[in-house]
Amino acid sequence: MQEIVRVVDLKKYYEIYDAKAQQSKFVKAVDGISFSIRQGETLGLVGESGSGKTTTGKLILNLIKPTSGEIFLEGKSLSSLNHKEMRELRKSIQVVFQNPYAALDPKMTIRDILTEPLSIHKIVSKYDYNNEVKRLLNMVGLSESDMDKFPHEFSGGQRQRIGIAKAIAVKPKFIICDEPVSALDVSVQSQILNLLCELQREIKVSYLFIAHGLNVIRHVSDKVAVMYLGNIVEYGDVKTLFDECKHPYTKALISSAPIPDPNRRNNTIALKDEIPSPVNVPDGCPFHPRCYEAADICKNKKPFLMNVSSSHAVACHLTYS
Amino acid sequence: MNRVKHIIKKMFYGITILIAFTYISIFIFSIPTGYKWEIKNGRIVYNYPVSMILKRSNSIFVSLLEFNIGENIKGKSLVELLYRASGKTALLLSASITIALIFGILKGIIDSNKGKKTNSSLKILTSILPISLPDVLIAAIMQGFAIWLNQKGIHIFKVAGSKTISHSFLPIIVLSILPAFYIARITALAVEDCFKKHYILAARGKGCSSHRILWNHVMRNAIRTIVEGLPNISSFIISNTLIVEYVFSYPGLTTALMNHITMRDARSSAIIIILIGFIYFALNGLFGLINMIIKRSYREEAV
Repeated sequence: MQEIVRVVDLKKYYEIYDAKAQQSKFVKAVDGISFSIRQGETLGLVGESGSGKTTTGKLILNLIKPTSGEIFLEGKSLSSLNHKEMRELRKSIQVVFQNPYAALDPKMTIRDILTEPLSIHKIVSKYDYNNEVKRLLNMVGLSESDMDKFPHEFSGGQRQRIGIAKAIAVKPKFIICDEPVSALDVSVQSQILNLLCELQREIKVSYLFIAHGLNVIRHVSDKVAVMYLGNIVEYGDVKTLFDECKHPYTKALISSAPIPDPNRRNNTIALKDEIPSPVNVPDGCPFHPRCYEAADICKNKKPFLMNVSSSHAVACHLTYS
Repeated sequence: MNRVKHIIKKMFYGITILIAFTYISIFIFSIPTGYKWEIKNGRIVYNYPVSMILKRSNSIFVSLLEFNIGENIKGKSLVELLYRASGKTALLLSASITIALIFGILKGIIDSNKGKKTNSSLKILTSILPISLPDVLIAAIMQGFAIWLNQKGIHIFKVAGSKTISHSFLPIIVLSILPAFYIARITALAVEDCFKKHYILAARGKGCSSHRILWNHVMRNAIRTIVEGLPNISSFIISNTLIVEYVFSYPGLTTALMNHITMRDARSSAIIIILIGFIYFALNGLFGLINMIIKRSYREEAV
């Protein structure tokens, strides 16, 4: 299968000025990550708040510039594209945002919202706009009569469907779903997830699915990357990762997922302390201050992602030894 | 039904305030010159009884309620006088509000950081500084500038008077300065607020050009905030009209009011005050109507 997205050693540092120390410091939002996504594949990106998941999504979308590293979309490096070429490439890559209440322009009707990408990228002729909008609404399970309504006249789940329709309007090859179900009720979450899976089968689109809910990731993803403080700590097939996870952070994340069975004891691994500030990333392994298995080497040397099998990689000294 | 009740309630309060203010104005203008009071043997003694002033005020007020406009204290027809003066003031107000809106919105867009992290302090200063200057100073500076242009042989602006339409240019410009920079400031803040929203990020992700983002998305949302801020300019634009008409000897309503107050013509003064009050309410009503139309077009609750 063709590779749609490839990220190589991507870094994004934000410079901030510490008035107390009177020096500039860097917030390491993304600190050297690499992965690839093939056509029709879903990569789940999971991690705590502040681990750099959304920043990774924005970097791939070219909404923010990376500090270093390369992003390849359909084999083309983003940094080598001019404004016109980038605009052309935006047809291939779209986004579904977390907050359905904020992602739609409140002063545009659904017709205008869905027509806009069609007119920017000239997907269909202007005489076919109405028909195409109706087709998109039907695809996401909404009625044609909703075309002339405003976003505030819809529920959260319906707005997210409109956001998905907006994303698939330009027939993209790759969609970044930035926590698309976090702001929705549990009952609505399953509908949206099933819709995304159905669309993937229909139009063969790839997803980068960003979430912090493991159950959601397990349901939709083919591969999973676990992020911690801007680094990928574990990467692999969803089955391998959930059944044979190696990294202590991944084990703690999986153990923290609630089990809906009062008779089953959940052996939750409780991590000590809070996640450190991305301004003061610990030396060595960034996870070692909270790790229940940390060794001396973890405090001094940063581990890199190493393959433990053909479909599984871990960044942990204990796994190597 | 609730909306109608709300509008009727607002109109009732407005009319009550207008009537009360008119009566108080009539009472004040009915106080004769030379009126004084003193304390004699522990009692306050007036040279004119208050009942006499009240009687005079009441007769003027009743004649107003009967729409008996008639003539002023010098025997000139008030209808003709007020018709001319109202026309001049209406021209001044409508032209300055139009210029203020066009210039203010464009300046506001230029001043805003348009989603970028930093912004030029100088641009913001060019909007805040004129707002902080008194209108008298601005009028004096503009008159000085017009005199200097005339001395150089450039006769675009007339310094004072009202014979030709070109006499209106300078008063219109001076009156539009303060509301223009106020509108510029609220536009800049509204535009900056819109640029922070997620739907702007989504529009950039879709491939929208900066031009499309600004006019199709940002301004469509910012215009609501700008229109909501417009009623605030009604009060200061009308109060500034007094200064502008006086400085430029422009024969509008406020000049007529000052003249009739000087003549101690209480009835005529009261009539002009009511007329100015109606202009204020009409302006506010117009801005409220625009706001309501915008809300209705987006099917939002219009309160």
